Amino acid sequence: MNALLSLVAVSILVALAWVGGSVASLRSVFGIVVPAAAVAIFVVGLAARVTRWALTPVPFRIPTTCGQQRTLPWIKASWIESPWTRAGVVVRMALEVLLFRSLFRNTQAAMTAEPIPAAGQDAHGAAPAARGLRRLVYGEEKWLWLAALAFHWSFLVVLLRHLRFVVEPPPAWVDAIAAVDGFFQVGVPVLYMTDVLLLAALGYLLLRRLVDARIRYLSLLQDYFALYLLIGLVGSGVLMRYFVRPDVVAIKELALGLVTFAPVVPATVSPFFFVHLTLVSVLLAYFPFSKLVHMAGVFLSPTRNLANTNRMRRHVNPWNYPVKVHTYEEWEDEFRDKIKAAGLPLEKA
Amino acid sequence: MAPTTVSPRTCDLFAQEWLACTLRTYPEQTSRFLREERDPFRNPVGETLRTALTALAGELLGDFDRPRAAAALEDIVRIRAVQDFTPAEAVGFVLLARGAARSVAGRGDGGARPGSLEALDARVDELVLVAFDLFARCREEIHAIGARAARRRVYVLERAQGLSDDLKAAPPALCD
Amino acid sequence: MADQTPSPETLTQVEYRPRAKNWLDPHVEFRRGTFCYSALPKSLKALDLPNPREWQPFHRDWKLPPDWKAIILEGMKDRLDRFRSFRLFMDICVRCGACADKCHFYLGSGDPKNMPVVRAELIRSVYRRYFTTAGRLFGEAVGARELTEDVLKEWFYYFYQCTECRRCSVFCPYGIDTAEVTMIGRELLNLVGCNINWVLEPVANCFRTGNHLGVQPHGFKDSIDFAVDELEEITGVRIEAPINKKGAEILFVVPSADYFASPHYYTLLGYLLLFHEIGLDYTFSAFASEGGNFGLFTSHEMIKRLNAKIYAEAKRLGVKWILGGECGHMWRVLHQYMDTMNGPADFLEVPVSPVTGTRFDNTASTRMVHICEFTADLVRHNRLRLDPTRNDKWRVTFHDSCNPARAMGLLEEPRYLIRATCRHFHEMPENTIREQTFCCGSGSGLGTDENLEMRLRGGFPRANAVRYVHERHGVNLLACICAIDKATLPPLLEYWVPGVEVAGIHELVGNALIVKGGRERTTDLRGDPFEREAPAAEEEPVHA
Repeated sequence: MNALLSLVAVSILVALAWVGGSVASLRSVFGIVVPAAAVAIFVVGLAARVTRWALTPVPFRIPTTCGQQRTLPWIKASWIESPWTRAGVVVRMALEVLLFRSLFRNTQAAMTAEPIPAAGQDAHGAAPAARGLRRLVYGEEKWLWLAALAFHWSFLVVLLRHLRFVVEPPPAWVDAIAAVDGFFQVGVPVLYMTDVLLLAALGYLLLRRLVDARIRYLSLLQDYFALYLLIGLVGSGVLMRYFVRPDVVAIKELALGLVTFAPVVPATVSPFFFVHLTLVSVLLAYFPFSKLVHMAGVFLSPTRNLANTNRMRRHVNPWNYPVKVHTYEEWEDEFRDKIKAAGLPLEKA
Repeated sequence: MAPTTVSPRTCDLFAQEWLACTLRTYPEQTSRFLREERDPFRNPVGETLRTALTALAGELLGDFDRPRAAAALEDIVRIRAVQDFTPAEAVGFVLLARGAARSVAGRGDGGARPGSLEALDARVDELVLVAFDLFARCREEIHAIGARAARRRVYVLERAQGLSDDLKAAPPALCD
Repeated sequence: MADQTPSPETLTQVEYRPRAKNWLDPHVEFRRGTFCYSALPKSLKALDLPNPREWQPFHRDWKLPPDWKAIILEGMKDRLDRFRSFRLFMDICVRCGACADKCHFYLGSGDPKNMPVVRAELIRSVYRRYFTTAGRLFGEAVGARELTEDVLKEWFYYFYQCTECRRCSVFCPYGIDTAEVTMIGRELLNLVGCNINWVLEPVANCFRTGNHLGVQPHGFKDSIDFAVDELEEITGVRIEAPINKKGAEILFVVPSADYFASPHYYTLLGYLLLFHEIGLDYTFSAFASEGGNFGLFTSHEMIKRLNAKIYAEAKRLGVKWILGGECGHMWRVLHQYMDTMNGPADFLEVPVSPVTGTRFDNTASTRMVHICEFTADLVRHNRLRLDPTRNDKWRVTFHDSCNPARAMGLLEEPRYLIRATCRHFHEMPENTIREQTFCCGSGSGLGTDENLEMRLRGGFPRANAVRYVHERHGVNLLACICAIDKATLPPLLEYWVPGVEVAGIHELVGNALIVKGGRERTTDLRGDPFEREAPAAEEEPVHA
């Protein structure tokens, strides 16, 4: 149901964009107004969201420690997993943001098929029950990690490649990225690896939400919406690059116009492009108000970006307020006779 | 008359079918995880069910060694005795073996003729009774364990009996 | 058989308790054995907490205050503005499901609402409805729910079915910590008087008398004296255990179970013997007679209210620094909250071991040292004479308690002590120890008898890993450094892995420790005779 509704929503967006790109009077709305508004919403919305988080205090230092703390000098401490220096925190965050360290932590144990010979175990009364004792091996279960990594990195590369549409002349490093991306020189125009990876990763991420009852159970409309939106976005891009071949010069003219605040909508820009542009706009405008802000939020996560220096340096809580406590004096007053009878010292005899 | 003539493959199919039926007694969102995650430490329930049901299937279609069957049965009953099941649901998975056997026999893999199905039913009936005993024992154990835990909580108090009247009067039920 | 008897198939083949396909349906059933009883009014009154009354979770009417909804929503708003963690964790979850199979309650019960992500969604859905535009506009379509009494009951059921163990937060790509969400969820429930007795009675006791059991000063002294007498019987050495002694160098704080419950008590004997042997100048406090802090399972404010007495007593007694015993959640508070809440501890000195001269710079601000850090340092400097053969009858495994592992990073010190005091040590599988350790299933105040069934479910993943080393290596002792573990793992293992006992690290230290004077020891701290093996009997030492 959720999956269907969001598919309908994205389809409507695509249809609207197509109409907007086909009807002459709407072309400047969808070619200029919508993207400009989307960028504005994105910038202001994201800034507001991040500011709101940043202004919310972090009352306690609550890192999740995933390794040995720093204590005695002869005990090997884990400077990344339980960092006590700024560098350690930076590396921990970098691993998290760039390589999705935590998703990678999915060790999987399995028993080998053949039983191990019971070597004197019975002496301790350990009776292997119905299951035989088998050797333990560790493997990795990394599909989610792999798909997430493939998606995010490919998306970044594709984004950078797009710079050549908005910078004239394109910087050399953008061409270099494109060259590496098209390294295998398959087909004409050259097939970019990232395009394939993006679609494959998105497909996997969508499929696991649809197929696995567990993930389906916890998936909301907006989870599918984000995926369909991205698939539509990437799909329209792929369509234009490899199949439809619209007027690239015109598109570039439009794009350059947008970024130089001198917008034009050349007559030869294809409706396909309007679909692409509109989906980008929707993504941008949707971004600050959705779960997609995890991109910015991960940097602020207190269980990850704080050092495990809890006992070394005092963390100050800006709203630390006095509370009602039970004082020693009250305690002594209540139990004075018993304290005395037990022979324990008193403050006031 | 024991159904001893089945092939390992039939036995395997039977175990799989039985496991599938048993997993359907868990919430839909979970049963797939229980079935597919093969790490015995990440998925202790699913892997115990698989291992023990495979062993039980072997016994039902094979020698029917009662102590071995009971040990495998206990592994499962012990888990289901503390899960969200009524007593009937907790041990009822044993009866699912009948349906599983018929479904496998119906697929015509050979080995399980009507006659041997009846023999199998007799064994299943016996297992159900054993399962009920085990279930009752687990529940009794839980109560006994609770009582022992409560006593451990006031271990020093009990041993220091007579040391102080106030200690005796202290509420016995609380401690972390 | 009669025809109306249901066939086995109809009895069991229906999906059990067919669940709503959608988690937005808040209905829960309070079945015996799976929830904790409500707190008694007298506990609430003693603590000035709102809405004291007689009620039980399985009652239809929870006797909520008439404006309960406004109270909860106001409380949420307040906390969204005060805790970045809470606001962020409400906003950034992408529901990737990486945490789903990391919760011991989910693994043991199969209940999909025990997946950490869904547990958080229970509260997130209300956040969406009242604090986001999309939720206000589209409601259930985008996973936003009205706050109803059923939702509140569901919160109660599932937030008292989370042990705040933080295992899921290890695997979350954004570090979302369900413990944090559960803590806020319980704070909100407390605002309308929905709390459990197993948490609030200890809190009330602790507030008044200083410890969970409500043991009064003379009772505390009796318990310690009893331990001193018993230690003399075992070792032939008469030791001192000072209480409320002004001017001592060190204040020693333990969880109260150490002087009341078994097997905690043997750990206490271990501490006492150790301190005697090294001639430590320390004191107990009969007021700060509880290191544990069930405020952690109530509200941030309650943590502070209960924790205050530790620094206050250190100051009053004029000690230089504080030493803390073996306890899990106690150390979460001491490590991550105490200094912030009740510091700065500028009246104390940076801890220095009087025996080795080691300065504990890692605790330069809080000035409180964990006993395992302290003892490991002694062993490292060869200041203790240890005879590990005295622990030969134990084949030991180590259970990392959640809080020392995931809120502190105390992983190596206890292992170092086990290796120094025992000759047979076997680790459990690597995805069940250290930062990936499985909870005992009874933490965060859920360790009560009426909840035993749920605890046995939640503890199954832990017990299952213990069973592996029990069968593979003949492990018969699980060592740990947590008072809740010591109380709740024995019943857990009795059920799942009979034949495995539970002990604290300092019980093993006390067994192995050779003390000056006294007589030749023949029994361990439990009074059982040593069972030494021939020196060559060492098998494969450590399963890595």
